[in-house]
Amino acid sequence: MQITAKSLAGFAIVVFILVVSPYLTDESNLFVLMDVLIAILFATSYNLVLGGAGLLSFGHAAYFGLGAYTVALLQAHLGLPMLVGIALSPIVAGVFALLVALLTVRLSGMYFAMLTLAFAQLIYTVIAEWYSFTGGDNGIPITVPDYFFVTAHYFYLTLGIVVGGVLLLWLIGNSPFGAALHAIRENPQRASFVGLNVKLYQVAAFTISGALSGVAGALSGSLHQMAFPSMLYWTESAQPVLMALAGGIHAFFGPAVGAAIFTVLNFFVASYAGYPLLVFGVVVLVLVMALPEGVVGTFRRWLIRRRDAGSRAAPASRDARP
Amino acid sequence: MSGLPITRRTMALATSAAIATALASAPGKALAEGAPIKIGLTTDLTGIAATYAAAQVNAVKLAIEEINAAGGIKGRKLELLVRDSQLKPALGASLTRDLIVREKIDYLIGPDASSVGVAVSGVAKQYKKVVVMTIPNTPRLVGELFHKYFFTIVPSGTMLARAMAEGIGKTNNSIAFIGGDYEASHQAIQYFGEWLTKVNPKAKITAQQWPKLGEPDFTPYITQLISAKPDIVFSYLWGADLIAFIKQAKPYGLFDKTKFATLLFLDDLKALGDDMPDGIIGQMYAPPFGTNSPAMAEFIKKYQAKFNSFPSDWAVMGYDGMRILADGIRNAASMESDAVAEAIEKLKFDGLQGPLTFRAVDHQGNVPSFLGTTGKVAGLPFKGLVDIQRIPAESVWPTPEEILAQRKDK
Repeated sequence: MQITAKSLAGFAIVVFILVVSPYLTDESNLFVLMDVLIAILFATSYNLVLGGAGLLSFGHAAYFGLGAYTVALLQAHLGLPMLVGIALSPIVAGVFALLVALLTVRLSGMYFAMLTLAFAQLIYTVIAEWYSFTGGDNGIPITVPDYFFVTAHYFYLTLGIVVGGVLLLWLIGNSPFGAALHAIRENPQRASFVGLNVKLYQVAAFTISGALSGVAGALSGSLHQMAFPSMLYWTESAQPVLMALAGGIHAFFGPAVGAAIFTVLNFFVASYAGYPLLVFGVVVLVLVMALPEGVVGTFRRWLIRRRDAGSRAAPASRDARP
Repeated sequence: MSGLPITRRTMALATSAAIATALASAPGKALAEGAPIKIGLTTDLTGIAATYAAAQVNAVKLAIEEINAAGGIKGRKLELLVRDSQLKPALGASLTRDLIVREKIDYLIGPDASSVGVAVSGVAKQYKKVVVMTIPNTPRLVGELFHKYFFTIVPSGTMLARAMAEGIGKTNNSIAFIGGDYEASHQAIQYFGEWLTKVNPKAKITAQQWPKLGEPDFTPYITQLISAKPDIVFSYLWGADLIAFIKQAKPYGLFDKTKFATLLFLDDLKALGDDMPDGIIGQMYAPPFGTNSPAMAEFIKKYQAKFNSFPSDWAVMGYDGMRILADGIRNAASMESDAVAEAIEKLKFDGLQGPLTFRAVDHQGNVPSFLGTTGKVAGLPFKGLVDIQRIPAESVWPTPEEILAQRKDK
């Protein structure tokens, strides 16, 4: 895989639209966009583990929440400003992800999923119960500097960090490291015969993924000016899994599209419709039944099929273009 | 791999499409003179506290209907916008912020769960919107999270725990505690214990049980409470937990072996029906049968006629909360948040439970709480409280010095 002009152009167009969006739309939509951007970083970094390494982690909400708590606790106990907290969030979340990964990658499949879930619940319980340190289950406030109270300022901070994080993940996915991960995903046994240290690669992927999930959580906590234990609860761990599956785990931007769909849908359903969980259940059901490869995976397959059909009918047309 | 470039481009298109959808939705509408005054209500219509939220929404609607029927406020009608925060604080913050910046609501009325209350209060502070809370009651709201646009007419966790200590502490020397393992219960036993040393230094909390919220099997807790042989059990269970506990404790004879005092919501009395044992000491926030007045009788009648159900504590507080907000808007010199907050602070409100004012230090309304014994009440289709004792706010609320000390600690 290589960086092509077309893909770069596409990415640049999206980023450009986002950069000018504060001038195109009002404040309320910027808030929805920020939620979307944060979900994109969370889902894309999650997919380094699921689509990248082929490991089903069911505890990523823990790293997301740890990111938010990094900001809140550094502020509450050491008086460090929000930006320092956001900068340190990948380290804190990454260290926890590393520890969990070291203990879990020896397992596979369902056992790996259950153990990541168990560790996530452990972290959740500590945060929810340690009243004197974390403020317990009603959360702990994050004070945002006045400069970032201006919505556009916080939007650009979010945009910059999310674009940086997604680019980083894209580079990782397209590096030899990413290729080795794919080899491991497809056939761990053969990969180890080739000489790859399978566990080491999996631990590394899990740690990077956890660290960047922590950044997403730090941005989310700062946006809502609060870190809550429910951010780490196991039901939240389903979010990136659903987003990645809905968008398609084998396309790099699949989870991002899934994240956008879910966040916007969740927002409007919660705002304007009754029975949000019912609507959600139906959407997930339809996606799983009708689009097993996710929105992006299915769309890509359709495009390839159409192009192949087209090129068979007029094989010279592509070369004939000026 | 030649398919990938196309994929990336289409990816980009798909992403832009999703973003465009988000951008395309309704632009903000300017507030015109004579346009309705918009009230925003974010509450948990989904989840374990949904019944409370539903009663709150009903009561607020009823109050708004009456105000509009009487000509509105300053010639303008009231309009209510409701959002479902699903017990998720972050979603509550998002939806409340959206109500403010997209729907341009003018004032807020309180959410449901305390965790969402904390989030909503933060947003109200940032956008300088008056918010009247009618269900959340964590002491942090009036403590370190307090701001001048915040008002509450719910007896705080501190007030309730102290009222319970007043009610059961004097006559019982060994007290066992059971409460769901979450912040409110931990605070309850802490404040209860502190007040207990004042009212009865001899009294001891001899056992503490912390089942998780939503615990299906209380058997081990019940047997341990019985074997602790306390004079009384103080329970901070509520909702489904309390209902399950009572149903499971009955066959063990817990209620014959020891006295039992619990936090009690009208919804739980309704749900338990005749399964509710007589003689349990219940502590309630704002039960309609706790106040005997023509205004309350009238409210019960109207609420039942409209919603075909008996109003709960949450309905009483929702109705009063909305009328307090309306009176504040009416009395204020302008529609600005500062003017309305000032007007509410000065308000002498004639509520369903009697006169109500707010004190300056924490904007806590001087609302009573109630202790009584479960039993048959005339005219109620389920059990209620008899021998009701009304505990005035002034006897149990934290002094201004305590509130200020609490804020300084944080």
